[in-house]
Amino acid sequence: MRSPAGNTREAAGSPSPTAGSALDFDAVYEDQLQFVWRTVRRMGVRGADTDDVVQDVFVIVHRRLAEFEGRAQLKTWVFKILLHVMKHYWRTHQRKPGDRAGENETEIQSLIEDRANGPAASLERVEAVRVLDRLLAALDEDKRAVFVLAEIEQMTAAEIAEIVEANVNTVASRLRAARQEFEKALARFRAHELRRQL
Amino acid sequence: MNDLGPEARSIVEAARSADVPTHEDRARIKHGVLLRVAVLGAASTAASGAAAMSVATKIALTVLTVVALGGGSVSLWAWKGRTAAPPIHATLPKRAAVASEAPAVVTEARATAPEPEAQPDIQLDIRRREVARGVSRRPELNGSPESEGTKASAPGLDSLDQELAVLRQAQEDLRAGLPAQALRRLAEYDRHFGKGALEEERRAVAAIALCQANPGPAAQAQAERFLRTAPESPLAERVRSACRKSADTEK
Repeated sequence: MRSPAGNTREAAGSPSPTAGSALDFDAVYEDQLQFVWRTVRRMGVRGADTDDVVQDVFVIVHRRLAEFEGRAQLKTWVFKILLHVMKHYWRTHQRKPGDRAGENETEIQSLIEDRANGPAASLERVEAVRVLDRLLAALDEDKRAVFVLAEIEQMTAAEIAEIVEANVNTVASRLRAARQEFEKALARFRAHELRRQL
Repeated sequence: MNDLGPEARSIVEAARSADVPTHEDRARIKHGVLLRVAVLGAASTAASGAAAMSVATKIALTVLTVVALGGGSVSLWAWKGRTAAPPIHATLPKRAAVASEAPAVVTEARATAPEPEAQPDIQLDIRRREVARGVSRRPELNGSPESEGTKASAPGLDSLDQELAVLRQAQEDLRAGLPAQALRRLAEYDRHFGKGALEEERRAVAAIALCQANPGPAAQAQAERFLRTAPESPLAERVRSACRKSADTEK
């Protein structure tokens, strides 16, 4: 986990409410979409469902924006909403983080279809996403959330603790376990790849 | 805390920069969000605007509104799965009963929510998804040749914002008990946007406003026209209920 100084939390240009002022939804949307989009995809939402889940998050953000008082980071507040949406998604879809069956059907195919021909796409990065999602599928819901926030979104332990409503020690413990499981999954994946090549 | 090894780290870092929403992704998703917000807003208007509405409907709409404001993620799935694709013959008591399951969802994340996929009517589900994604079958939104002659072509986000603003003002008029003023605003909407992206919502709000302002054969005819052309609209039941009550009042 990065130190606060080194993470990618909202920069000075991000919208932040001052006393008595309301945030503008458009600004919040523009600022947070990439984070929400990426996190939704990394948390195991199938490609075809990505739009629906991201929309769910922002419909709630739109409805509740006036309630945001700036006591928490905007990103933290948005992620709490995202996490509630994700929990429902996991409950209502048979595949959950940690379910190995169907892991290749997450958003990998759509990512390839959507982006493989794009100018910015590279096979290496598409492959990295494919491998990453396969490895993330080995983690349970709690560890996956902590891992995504720490390693991909580079949030601090304190920020994650606020989001997942756990104490910092619990977050540290989950992250340690998640990293270990991730490394084991990577070793299994490489061994599997090697066997296929022999 | 143990760090990731170099290979794991390189996978994470490569993937981080690989998955960025395009401008099209941004526009498409925002369009869908604003459409859904508009539909939810219109539903709450119908709920608050009518003395003319049944108790069951009021309960259902209040629950839906509270649910939406309360931020239950489940509620949105519930909303999408239930109200966006009601069967044409759906009865009010049944809808109220279904919606009333939602509050538990808001306060407790473990509550059960319906599967959107559980909708039996595939066509209705497709329509629901189109609405949620901001896609419309209406030709003017798809830029097909059939859209020629309509006032609005594929709407940009600015145009959608303007349409939303007019509809919200009309909703405020209904809340304030000023249906005639709402109708004037909707006529203004017609002049500016023609068959805009929110045409279906405009027609629903107009039907409700007319039934409130001037209940009678003309209002009934407009409501029936809306229900005939948009039977699976999330607002169909609201229109049906508002105009049924106004007809009863007139008698």
